[in-house]
Amino acid sequence: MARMSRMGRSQALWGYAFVAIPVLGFLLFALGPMVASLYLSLTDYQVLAPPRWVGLANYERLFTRDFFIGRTLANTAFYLLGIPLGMAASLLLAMALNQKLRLQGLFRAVFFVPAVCSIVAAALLWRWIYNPDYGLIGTYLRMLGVTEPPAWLADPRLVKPALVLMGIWGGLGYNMVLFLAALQGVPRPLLEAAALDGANAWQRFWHVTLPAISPTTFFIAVTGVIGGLQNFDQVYVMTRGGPEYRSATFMIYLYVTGFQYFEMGYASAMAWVLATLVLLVTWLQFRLARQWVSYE
Amino acid sequence: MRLRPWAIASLLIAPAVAGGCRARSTAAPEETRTTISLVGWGAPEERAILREAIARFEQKNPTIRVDYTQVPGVGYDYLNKVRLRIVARMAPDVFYVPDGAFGELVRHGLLLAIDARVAESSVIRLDEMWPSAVDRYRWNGRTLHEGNLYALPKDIGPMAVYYNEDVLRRRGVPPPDPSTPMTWDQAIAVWKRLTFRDGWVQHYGIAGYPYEAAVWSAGGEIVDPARRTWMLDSPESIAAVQWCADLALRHGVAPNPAHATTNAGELFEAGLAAMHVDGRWMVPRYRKMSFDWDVAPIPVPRAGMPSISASGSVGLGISASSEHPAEAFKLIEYLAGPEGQAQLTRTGLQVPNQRWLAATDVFLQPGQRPRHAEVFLRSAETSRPGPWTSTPNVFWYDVFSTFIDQVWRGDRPAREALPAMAPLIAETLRENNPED
Repeated sequence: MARMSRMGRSQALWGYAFVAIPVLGFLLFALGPMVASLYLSLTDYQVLAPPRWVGLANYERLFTRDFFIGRTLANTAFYLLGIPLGMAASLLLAMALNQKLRLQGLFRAVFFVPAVCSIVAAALLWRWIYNPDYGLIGTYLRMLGVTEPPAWLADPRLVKPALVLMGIWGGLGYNMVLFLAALQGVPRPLLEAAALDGANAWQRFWHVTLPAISPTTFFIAVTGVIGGLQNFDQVYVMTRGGPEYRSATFMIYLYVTGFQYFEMGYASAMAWVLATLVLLVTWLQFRLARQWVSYE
Repeated sequence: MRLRPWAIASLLIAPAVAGGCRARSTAAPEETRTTISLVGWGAPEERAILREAIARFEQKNPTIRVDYTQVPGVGYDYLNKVRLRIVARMAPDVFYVPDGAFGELVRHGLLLAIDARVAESSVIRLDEMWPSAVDRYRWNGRTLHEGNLYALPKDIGPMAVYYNEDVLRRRGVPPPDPSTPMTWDQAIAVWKRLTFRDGWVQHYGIAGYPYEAAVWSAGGEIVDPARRTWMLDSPESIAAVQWCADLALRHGVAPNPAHATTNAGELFEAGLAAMHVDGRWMVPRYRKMSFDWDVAPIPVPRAGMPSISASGSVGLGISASSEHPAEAFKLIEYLAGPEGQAQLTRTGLQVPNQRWLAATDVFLQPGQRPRHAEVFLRSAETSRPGPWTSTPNVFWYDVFSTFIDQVWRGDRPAREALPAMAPLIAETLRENNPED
């Protein structure tokens, strides 16, 4: 580094001073607890008694003997299916609302409402919709002649699709807004050139529009998967883990283990396994991105 | 002259310090009194009654002062508050110990063993008290409900069948005998007469029949005495569980518990269920209901069999780290003894610890519902702690509660479902309650 002038040095000091506070916050409230939880994952810690070192016993139990890990991870994987479905739906919506319509602003606002809705309010709404006796879906099915409408949230086979549907509804508005912004950035000259070359609407979409918005698609995919792997609020308020743990995600099992039964050592081990999984999946996505994401 | 920063600071702090000193010097010289803390929970009515009991205790023990904190809400909030105080090394001297949380607390050595003090006490006589209430606060280092005593019961809440007398009269059904429990066949016949449709509204004969009462009365068990084996896959237990499911599935006299949109208690309060099995603690709430009601014993499979059901209880425990164990024991001795129990029973929600006291008007409260309060006494004789108190960690019970829905929904009969889930539940039971 070249010798800095006196003013340069004092400017740098001010810079460090301002940065110090968020860095300190990170060390105290993020990195510190992470290191502590790594240590705790190697102990048997029941909160009411001091931690007791057990080495890798928690991880061994997790990988060899735990029944619920397999089931909850399978559930979590199922919920990830909702991400491509949701992206397709929001993209369609964004393309529809990208045209000059009357009340375009109103439509965009209406579709964005679920994003600002509290999860508890949304859960109350959807529990009412899914109620077999007096819910919206049940009533319409009865009008169509179905005598015994299914109990969506109480049936082990139907509960996950029901929650995926609710999840898509929730994420629609937010992704739609991102796609709308990306669609504005599709280069018009390219589209016109493709039309002149004889490409039909579908071909223009597939070869021009999609690659142009692929950075946004990539962003939504990565953040969607990271969030999806840690899915908790929605499932907890809707079903608490559902009939026979058929809707329980990994995070719900972690929460019950740690905050209901206070087996904090075991829960910390689960947290680290989940964190590693998220890192792995994200790294994989970034590797694959080179194939399909194009930046101008 | 410019004021230096330290001058400004001292000008601001000085009055506060002076004020503090003055406050302390005018305080009454009460340093001879020991202060102990009591933390509990309950409805606002209970707070008033407990304060009166504490006031009487302080009158009788002028050297002790009780600092009482009532945590609003119920159950979960209270337990978390107590756990936080324990971890922060500020455990209250005396606190409520729900019988379901007793295992977790005693396993970590957080409660003081009180056998010696109880033996010396002239107020507490264990042989006067309900055995099931006292035993559920025992721990021998490995198994709950046996061994040394770590808390005294504050109450016992046995269960009975509450019935809506107005509905029974309307349907021409005579009230059940308060001294002899109905048999299962008689009960179903009665409930069928009480199940009817009134326009759009479905009325049920019974709501909320606890499966553990059916299993125990039929001679089955839920866990073995050593708490290492789950026993709900025995033939008697399977038949009992199936009978409970059939109330909704075959006979249609009960709402299906798997469709848990309204709970059984709410149905009874709304007059949509003629009968409902619940604990004594509901009495204060039901006394405010506009319909006439009374209680009867819980039905048994066949005539002559004992009616066994679960009872709830809350204990009074002394923290193992308390600095005033003698004073703390005096408090729980008073509250669990005849005098304190006589006062606490006034709320109507509990049966007092002492059996002789429970047989008097202090508990029977003639002139108030239920008219046949002695039903609760007979229930208390044969009651047991609920299965959720059997082990320190009850994750296995949660797992069972969620898998049993298959049977309530009618997807699988009990004779298939219970043996199928047995390995998982037994494994969860053993894994989370290690023998160390």
